[in-house]
Amino acid sequence: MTDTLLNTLKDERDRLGLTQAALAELIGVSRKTINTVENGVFVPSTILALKLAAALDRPVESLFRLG
Amino acid sequence: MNMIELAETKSRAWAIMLYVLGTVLLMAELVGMTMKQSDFVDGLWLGVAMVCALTLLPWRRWLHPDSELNRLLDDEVVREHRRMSCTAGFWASLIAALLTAPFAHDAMLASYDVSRVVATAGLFAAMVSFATLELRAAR
Repeated sequence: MTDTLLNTLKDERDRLGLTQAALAELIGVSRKTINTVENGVFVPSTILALKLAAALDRPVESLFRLG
Repeated sequence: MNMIELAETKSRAWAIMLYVLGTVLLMAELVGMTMKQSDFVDGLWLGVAMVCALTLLPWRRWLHPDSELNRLLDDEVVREHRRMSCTAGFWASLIAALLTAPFAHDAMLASYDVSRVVATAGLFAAMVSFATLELRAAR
């Protein structure tokens, strides 16, 4: 069985009123990266996951979970 | 235009340029294979192929590692796309090599033609898959 990584990135981003581009600028990555992580196309590194959690002010385990 | 938008514009333009360059490489290869061989066509293919190979390297990061724009243009997703497309290129080269091997064995294809087919297949597959992944991610 293959594990998939689910995330609540879009909900958390919407909660703070951030666009993908604004979040990308906050953590210093391209908008493509935010888009692909949000859509589950790309599994981020631990470093990026921690950066996202810090920028969205949420613990990393509430942003990502195994599906 | 802020840095994120600039990176996105440049990334899209780069992907389109890869499609164009890949098409030019394929055309140069087809012309070289079908028309009477000439030094000009051979040289054109070699020049285009070398440029194509350079497009798959992270030379932006090597040249200016501290540039914010270059960091955005070579972030995690781009590096992953490069890895995936280089793998696609490797498999395309391998398949091309296996398919042309019998013709080379029977001397129906010259060694230069075989190496051109193998390199073109690998480069074309890598460039097109990289451009496609980049454009899809930017949607």
